[in-house]
Formats: sequence, structure tokens, C-alpha cells
Amino acid sequence: MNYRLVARIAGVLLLVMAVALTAPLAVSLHCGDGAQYGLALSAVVMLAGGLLLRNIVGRGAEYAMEARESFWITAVAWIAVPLCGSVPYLFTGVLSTFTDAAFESFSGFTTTGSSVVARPEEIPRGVLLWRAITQWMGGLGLILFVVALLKRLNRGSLQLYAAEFSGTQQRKLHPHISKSVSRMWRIYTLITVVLVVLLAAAGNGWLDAVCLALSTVSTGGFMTAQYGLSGYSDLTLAILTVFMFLSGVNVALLYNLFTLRWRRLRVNHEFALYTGLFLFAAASCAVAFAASGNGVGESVRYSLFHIASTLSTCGFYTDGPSHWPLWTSAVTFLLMLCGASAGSTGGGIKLRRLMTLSIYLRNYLTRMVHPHVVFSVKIDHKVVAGDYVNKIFGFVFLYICFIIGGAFMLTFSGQGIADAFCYAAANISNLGPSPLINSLGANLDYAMLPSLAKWTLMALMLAGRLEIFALLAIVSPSYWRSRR
Amino acid sequence: MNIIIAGDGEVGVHLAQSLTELEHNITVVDPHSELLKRLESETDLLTIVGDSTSPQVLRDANVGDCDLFLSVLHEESINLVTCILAKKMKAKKTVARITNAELLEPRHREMFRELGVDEMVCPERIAAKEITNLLNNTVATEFFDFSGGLLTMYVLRLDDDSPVVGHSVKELTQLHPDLQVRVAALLRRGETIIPHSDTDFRGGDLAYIIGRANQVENINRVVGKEAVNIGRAMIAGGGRIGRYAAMTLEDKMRITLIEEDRRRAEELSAQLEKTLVIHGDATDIALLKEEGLQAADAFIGVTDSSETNVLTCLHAKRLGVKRTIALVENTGFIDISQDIGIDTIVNKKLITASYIARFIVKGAAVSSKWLSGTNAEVIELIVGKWSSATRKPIGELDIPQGATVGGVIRGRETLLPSRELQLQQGDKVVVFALPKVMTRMARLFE
Repeated sequence: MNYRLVARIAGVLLLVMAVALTAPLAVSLHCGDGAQYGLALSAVVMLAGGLLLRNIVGRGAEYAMEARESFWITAVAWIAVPLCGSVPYLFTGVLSTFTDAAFESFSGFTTTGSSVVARPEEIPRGVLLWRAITQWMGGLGLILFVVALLKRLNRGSLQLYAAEFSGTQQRKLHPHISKSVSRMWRIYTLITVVLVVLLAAAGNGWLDAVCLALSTVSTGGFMTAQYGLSGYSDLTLAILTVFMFLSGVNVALLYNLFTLRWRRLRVNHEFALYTGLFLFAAASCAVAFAASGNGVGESVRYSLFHIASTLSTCGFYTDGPSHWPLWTSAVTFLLMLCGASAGSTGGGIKLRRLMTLSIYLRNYLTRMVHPHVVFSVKIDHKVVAGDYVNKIFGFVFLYICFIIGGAFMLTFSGQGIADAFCYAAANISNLGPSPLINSLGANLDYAMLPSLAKWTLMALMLAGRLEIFALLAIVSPSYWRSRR
Repeated sequence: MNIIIAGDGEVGVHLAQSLTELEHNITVVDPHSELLKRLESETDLLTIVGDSTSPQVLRDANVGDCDLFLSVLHEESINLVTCILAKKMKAKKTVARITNAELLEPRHREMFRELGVDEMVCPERIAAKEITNLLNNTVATEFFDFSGGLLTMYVLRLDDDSPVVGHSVKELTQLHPDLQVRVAALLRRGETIIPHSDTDFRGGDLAYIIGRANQVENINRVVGKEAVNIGRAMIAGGGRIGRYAAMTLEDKMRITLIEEDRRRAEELSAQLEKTLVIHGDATDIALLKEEGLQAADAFIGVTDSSETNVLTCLHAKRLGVKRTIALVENTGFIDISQDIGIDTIVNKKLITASYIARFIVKGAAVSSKWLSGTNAEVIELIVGKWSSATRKPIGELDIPQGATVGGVIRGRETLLPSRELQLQQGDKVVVFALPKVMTRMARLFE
């Protein structure tokens, strides 16, 4: 095991966080909200820790990596970074217990958006911005930060990339992985900036615009007020609906779209399914809302916003119709599990996987009638390799196991069984808050949960964000047995 | 015309033989000395043993004086390289046989022209196209369009109980004055007959009928054939022909494709969208039945083995499959295969030769087709400015024995060649002729 390299990469990530903390610090100083000392202290701690790990522990690290290191680095990054990210919440006194701070931080980095902060409008502005920044960093993936920053990784970067982006299996944007990644970052940043400008133009304050944009583009879902986004204008909500929808689209597709590389835009069945699913679900929910006595305009607007939020696993909500038809709850629950497109910032099982499985199952049924038939699973006219299909089966199985296991732990910690399943599903799919959970009668208050439940949810968020395998690899016995 | 043929097997040999009959100067370049020795003893041509990608060999073949260079080896890349070399060494026109139909796409055409490959022919693709056409027109055993579909030639097998059997050509026109067709030839027990007005139709005849495309219904009615709607087809053999056929047909009908090689079957399943690809042996009749041979409307045998194709087609026929098409590579088998009841025979050599013939007949041959079963050829010619044919009506022209004018296209109009019809410059004539008189016919209209 190349521990020096692991330390070096962790150090780099800490330094990135220290740099990222300067923005909240500046905001705090400007607003005089009292959080500046806490934030400054956090930044200093991270700077020190980062320099220690990168320049002393990790000095002279060899840039050689094998599969085991890549899993290890992925896991370290995804556990250590959110843990360090909780420091500002503690130092500024916004959250008093380590569990709460860790929960908020994990929820941010995994772009889940479940929050234990009771009144976001009352916490210091700097901390509010930090909360949003954690989501943005986690949105495209912490490892992608590493890959983009450490160009010397070369061969290893592909393994890292694969460990974090296990769901995509598609052509890179550029022959060099670090160039591909930096292209992804560029489009991600571009979309964010465009959204900030649009939101500000729609009459929102700059800080609000930035916080909302960071939450939307990363499909995080931290909101700026206690009761969701009800206080914002219709125009703001419409803009957010469009960008939530876009955030659930494969980043590579967006890159080709926005950089006008039309020729690279080929048939993309996943995007077609994503759009179709969005339109169908929104239309059916609008009908369901209108039929149960809500105004037509309100039903349509609310359904579009709510479905975009659920399908992209963003997790924004507004004050909606008070009465939820059963159909809407059912659709929300299903879409939450399906999730967004592979290669997007959203969570869930991912539509591409579900498509692959459904094609495989259809083939399987045909095989029962035609025992000698030869099949291949094709998506976008390209064959999906058999072992990849197996991997997806394994993934979905594990996903269900995690939901059931998570629900078990939550029930054990005192939640109702229906609530437990909703919490588990919403957090493993990185959706976070959802009015569905409200509609089931549970109060959407993560702060009230006992510590056991919080740590369970953190594990689920992480499993969902890392698409399980990277997390399981380092706890599997064979991983440790073959240790050198 | 000086023609060089670079080949490595039967396609080249067949081309050489049929072109020599048309009185061209043929040089064959082939790496197999045995084959060439046999060819030279049978046919009047020059042979050179050697590799066609060697400039020295090409120089020996006198490539600089050649009007047409045909490269018809099995390997596509060799053909392309050969053509490029030949063109650089001043061959007038080059034709390459290819296997990958992607190269035929119009957007690549200019690129290959610049490289020196003037024309490309993909026999497998043409064979597949023929199969597709035949399934769309289920009555004809073969058919061919002229001038973009203005005239069509149908080849029909007359059943013993067909209403026209026993009647002469003259009686047919008297009985059905609305039938705007011309019977160009009859094939009776391997013999090609150019019918005159007193010739009788007999059961089992293969009739070559030329007429307007809209006459197909009429012909079917008169001959007593019924069109079958093909909803399900089974293809045995997933070679290139089977693959292209499945590709073009799978949107219109349900296709089951049987391929023996596991890996090949997997490739096919990756390339085909709707076709059901079955891994198995096409000679395993139990497997064919299990996969629904009885329910199929058409069976297409296109495996590498002609015998397998013929036998499985016969079996399918016995199980009540309405339409059977077999790929038969051995030209000697074609006649007998049709006699024993297979509807249509597809032969890659004939197809290639047909296609290439259009580059050969002097004058303005627009399209041509070598017919299976007979050695005759149908060809579409443009009447030249100084042609002697424009001076007299058709009835008085010196049309040699073994040839006939099947139809005339003037502008967008089609005319039936009556004795009184006066040809004009620019008319397109569809000529049906045996090879020995083809050159004379071509000269007549030139």
C-alpha cells in the first residue's frame, strides 16, 4: 500500500478545503455575522493539516497506484473530507454536537441535502455559504478534484475515475483523463455561473443566488430557509426547475451540448428516457393534484418543480398542496429510487442501469422460449459487456440490501417502519429532504433523530454517492487478505 | 476492350470466362498457378501467375494499356491496394470488389475516386438486396428494374396448371389486350428460347417478362400466381449476405437468423436490432422446427455450404414454407436446384459479373443483369446518334438470332417494341441477348 500517496492526496484535498473556506470567511467578515473567528480557525487547521499531510507525511510519494490504492484513496477522501468539513460547524458553534456537524457535512459532500439545521435563515451567512460549497465540491466528485489537480497520476487517475464513476462506462471527453475531467469541471462551473447570474437577475440577493445555485447544480438540496423555497418568486422557481432538470443529465452530454459539439451528440436513450419520465411523471402528478381539488396552474407549476427535484435527486421543495394524492406519493417514491442519468451529479440507481437490466430481463424471458437464442444487451446501439450487466445486478441487489438494512437500523432506533424506509431510500438516493416524507406524516426534521439513526443515514448517503462498490471494496475480506 | 482481372478464385474465373465470350482481351492475374493453367486451357485468354499488389506483376500484365481493371479477390484491402496501384499505372477504370458495405456510402465515394478506385462492388450486399426484393415481390423468382423502375423484368415460373400453359404468345396478347408486357425469353430445361408469336407456353417454363412496373398485378392474374405476404422469415447462415438481408428486412418482418459459430452469433446479435439470433446448426431440422420453421413464410439458405442451403430449402418447402431462396455457389447446380423446386437461386459470381458487365459493353450501357439459369443477359442501352437503328422501324432491323428488344423507354415514357416502332436517338432499349450476339446488339444501337 502506497500510504505516502494516500496521505499526499488527502493533504491536497484539505488544502482545497482551506482555500474554499476563504469565501465563507470573506462573507462573514463582510456581514459581520460573528462566524469569522470560527471559520478562520477552521481554515488554519485545514491548512496546517493539509501541509502536514502533503509536504511532510506524503513527501516523496511515488505516483504509482494500483486498484487497491485507488479504492483506498476514494474511501479515505470520502470519509476524511466530510469529517474535516464538519469542523467549521463546530468551531462557529452553529451545531453543538459532533454527530450533528458530521451529519450536516456528510449530507453536503454527498449532495444529499438532509439538514439538521433547524432555521437556516438564522445561521451566520458564512456558514450558510460553506454548507452550499460542500455540496458543490461533492457534486462532481471529490476524486475528480484530485484527478484534475494531480496531473502526474496519469495511469492511476483512470482507476480513480473508474472507482468513483462506476456507473457511466462511456467514452471519455478527451484522450487524457485529466483533460476530460477538467472539461467536466469547466462545464460544471459554467452552468453554476450562468445559474447564479440568472437567479440574481430574477431579483434574489447575491448570497441567496450563490447558495441556491451551488445546491441546484450539484443536486444537493440544502435550502436557505426553514420551510423550503416557498418564499421565492415564481420566476426563481421556474429557473430552478430548468436547472434541476439539467443537473440530472450526464455531464459529458451537457459538455457536448453546450460547447456545440453537435456531431458527438448521438442517440442517447438514457436522456430520452429521462426526459420522457420527467414529462410523464410531471403531467400525471399535475392531473392528480388538480383532480384532488388544487388549482390547475398551481398543480402544473408544483408538479414540474417537484418532479424535477425528485428525479434529479436535488431535494428542493416548496409549500405545496396540502393534500397529497396517493399517486403522487407513489411516483415520488419510485422516481427517488430510479434517480438521474449516469454520469450526472444526481443520485439514485441511475436510469442507465435500470435500462440495462430491463433489456437483460426481456432477453432472459425470450430465452425461455428460444433456448438457443444469442443475445446482447445494447444501449444506444452499443453492446454492454456481460460482466458489466452482472455488476449492475450486484449493484441493485446491494442497493436494496442497504435500504432494507438502513430501514432496519432506523426502525431499531425508534422510527416507524414506513418512515424508516422513506428515510433510508431518500438518503441512499442522495435526495435528502422530500415533501413525500412530510406527506407520510413524519416531520421532516433530521435534528430530532437519535445519533444511531444519524450515523446510519450518513452511511447510506455515502454508499449512495459512491455507488456502493468503492465503499464495499475496502471492507471486503479479500481486499485485506491480499494486502501486501 | 483490354481487361485485366485480378482474382484468387471462382469469381475471377467466372468473370474471365464470360467476358471472353463477349470478345474482349482478357488478362487474368492470380496467385494460383494450377487454376490459371486450367483456365488457360479452357479459355482464350492470357494468364499471369503472381501477386496483384506487385507493381512488376501489374507491369507484366500491361496495365498501362488496360481499359478496365477488375480486382475481385476475396480480401477487400488487397483489392483496394491493387486498384490504387493500377490507377497510378494508368489503368483507365478500376473496379474493386469489397466486403464492407460501409465503403459504398455516397459520402465516401469521392475519397475512393481520388485514391484511384473508380467503382466498388459488394457482391454480398447486392445478393442481400436481391433477397430483399424477392421477398417484397413474392411471385417473381427474380426481377430487375430498368431506368429507375420505369421498366421491370420479371422472371416467373409457370406452374402446370397456369392458365397460360398451352397457349401461344400471340393468343396471350389476343386474350388479354390490356396486358402491356413482352415475353422476352423462355427457359425450358436449360435451353433459352427467344419466343416468336407462335411459341407455346409450357408448364415448368421460366418466363422472362418485361413490362411496366404497374403491370405486376396483371401479370400475376394472367399467369395465375398469387402474391404472398411475408410476415416471418428464417435465415440460415449469418455470413455477410445473411447479415445484410436481416438488416434490411428486420424492420418489415420478423426474422430468425441461425448461425453455427457462437462468436459470430454474438457479433450478429450486437449488430442487429430486432432479429432473433439463434446459435445452432442449420442442418439440424429439429432446431429449425423448434424455432418455428413451419410458421415462417420464407426460408433463406445462405450458409457457406451450397448443399446445406439447397437441402434446407427443400425441407422448408416440404414443411409448407411458401418462399425459398438458396445461395448456390456452384453455377452447375443452379439449373437443377430450380428444377427440384427451390424458388430462387442466388449466386454471388453471377451477381458480380452482372454488375461489372455494365462497365464493359461498349456504347452506353446503363445497367445490365446476368440471369441465373440461363447464360443470357439483359442489358439497357442508349440509342446513339449515328445508330443504324434510328433509320428503320424495329421490325426491319437486323436483329440477330438469340436476341430480342424487350422494351423501350423514351423520356419518362415506356413503349412496347411493336414491329412498327421507330427508335429515336436517346431512347433506352432493354435488350435480351445471348452472349455470342451481345456485342452485335450493342453495336447496332451504338
